[in-house]
Amino acid sequence: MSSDNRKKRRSSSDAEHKAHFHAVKRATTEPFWARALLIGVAVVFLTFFLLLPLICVFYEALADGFGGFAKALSDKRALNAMKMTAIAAFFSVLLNVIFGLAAAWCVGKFQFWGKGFLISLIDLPFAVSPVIAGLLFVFLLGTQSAFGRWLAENDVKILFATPGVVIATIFVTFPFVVRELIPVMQAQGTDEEQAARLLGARGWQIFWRVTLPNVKWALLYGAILCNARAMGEFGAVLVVAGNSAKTNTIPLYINELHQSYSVGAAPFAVASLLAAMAILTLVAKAFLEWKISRANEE
Amino acid sequence: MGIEVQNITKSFGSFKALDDVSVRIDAGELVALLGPSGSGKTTLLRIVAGLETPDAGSGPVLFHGAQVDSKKIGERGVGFVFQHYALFRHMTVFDNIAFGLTVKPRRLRPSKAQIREKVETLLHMIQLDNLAGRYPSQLSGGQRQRVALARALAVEPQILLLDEPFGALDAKVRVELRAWLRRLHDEIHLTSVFVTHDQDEALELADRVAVMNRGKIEQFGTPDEVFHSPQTPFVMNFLGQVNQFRGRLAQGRVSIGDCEGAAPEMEFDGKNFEKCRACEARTAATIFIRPHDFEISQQRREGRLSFPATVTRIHSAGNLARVEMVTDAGETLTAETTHSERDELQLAPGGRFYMTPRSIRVFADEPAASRAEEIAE
Repeated sequence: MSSDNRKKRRSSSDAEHKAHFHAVKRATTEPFWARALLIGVAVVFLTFFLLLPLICVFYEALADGFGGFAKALSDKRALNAMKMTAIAAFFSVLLNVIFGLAAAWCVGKFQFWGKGFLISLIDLPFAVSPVIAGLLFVFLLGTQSAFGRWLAENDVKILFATPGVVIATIFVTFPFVVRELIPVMQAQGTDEEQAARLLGARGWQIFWRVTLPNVKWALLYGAILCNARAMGEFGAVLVVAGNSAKTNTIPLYINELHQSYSVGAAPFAVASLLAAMAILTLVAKAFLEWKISRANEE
Repeated sequence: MGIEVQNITKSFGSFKALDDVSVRIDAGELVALLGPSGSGKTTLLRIVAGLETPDAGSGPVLFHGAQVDSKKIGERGVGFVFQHYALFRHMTVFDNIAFGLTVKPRRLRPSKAQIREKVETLLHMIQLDNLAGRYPSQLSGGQRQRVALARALAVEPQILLLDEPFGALDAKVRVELRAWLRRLHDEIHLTSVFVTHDQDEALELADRVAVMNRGKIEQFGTPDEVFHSPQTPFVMNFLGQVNQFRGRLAQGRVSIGDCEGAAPEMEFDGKNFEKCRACEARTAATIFIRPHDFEISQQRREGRLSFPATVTRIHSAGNLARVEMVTDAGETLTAETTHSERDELQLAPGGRFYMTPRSIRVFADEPAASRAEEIAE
């Protein structure tokens, strides 16, 4: 069939769909005042809780002009915080992608005893407060525990150092990639992998050439959400980072600037970085959602 | 010998999908596994392919005399076509067909040019030369199925297995593809097994048909054999339309209700009646009569099994007229007759006629062994 024909067919079915939609709409639409009220409430809510704060961040960030903005961002401590955040985000995305693929492969493609429990366990970081998560690592790796003492004796510094920040971030971002991959892998089933195996492909070939390409958009989607969360994490990192300028991530640094009563644009300038990241994330997320829905249609 | 499986049992939890199944399929044969869903036909196919492992204690699976149980799936030399195609959705038609060649270990892998040539030959064979660059989502169901077949054939398998190959296609494409597959099989003579629940498909396409029910093979024979001399009540019921009556067998004569007589042609438990001593015994039985095996008349045929029935409906569209009737005992039956005979007899709803079977098949309720003892006493 030529692509022209396909388009024609699609557009005619669109027209039918629209006609049907209008017929249904008349029968199921609420009166005008109800619609206006509901939409109004939603708009006011969004404006107060999302739009105004966002505008406020960027407005305050530029309160001292571009010079002040640039100075706040090029401060040595600011640069160090950016570096820490980048390290934490990089490692948590990398490790969670690897872990996420492995776990989703297990859960999505195999039946085994204890599967429900494993899924619950994966969700644990969503249920636990990040501060508690941080404290868990302090207890586990601190000198209270035998493992912590062993680490101290061997001069391995994890807590209140970069590795601690990375570990805490990985913990809180744990579910993001897996949760995106499991439903996709479940929906796709194992027929394609079986076909590949019957055609003589070996384990790694099946993974690289069949499984991975089929989940690439969902994987990217999960990685982006994971990255956004990793950059924004505050509670867990605060507990394991300690009060050191060396281990400050961007959110910790913003908090410090704010706590030190430093007037002016500096905290907002740094905060605007995170806000800009968030907007970028949203755009990427919207794009990927579109890609995934298209891939699912096929 | 193409494929041989011996004493295969497979359970899923408490459900026995296959119960001690043995089958031998000749080299170059095209065999259908036919049965209702849950009869174990797909499980048997998947065990042959190596996608399922039979229960412990099962016998071996042999391809051309060599045992393949311990071989890895990819090394068995099986071409497998999935019901829902299982094409690689992110690859073009060309890459799908080439897949089996490109994943070969480097020393066995053909050169790029050889692969291209092979894929082009296969594309020509499946009549999709121009669609090499398309993705599976851009193809129709029938085209996808042919690509799946070409992909399976690219690695030159020893045997070809097809799981409900036409199950997801519409009726017209199904018939076309069926004829095409038969021609293809006659060209390449690859030992092939396909699973289907469609009796027309099995009877038309296969050299031999294995009719399966509840994890067992009820009968394995040519389409002619399974259709015209079914060995079990299940096969009788499953293949073609059939009328079923409760009756009795006594002294070589059959009775349905209060009508009694002999049928000119009778098979008992799948055997010719004359040669069967056991049928002399009195026993309750199920009597099967095909719709085209009725002689319809205005008068009772004396001395023969001949009973009255009233016409309720006539379907005239088709090569034969299909007459729905109800007996005096309230049992419904379907008979088939030519249009000229229908006119001659003036068949019409409400009319009362005598039905005289030309040929019947009787299956006794009790197993043959216990009846033999009865005779001995």
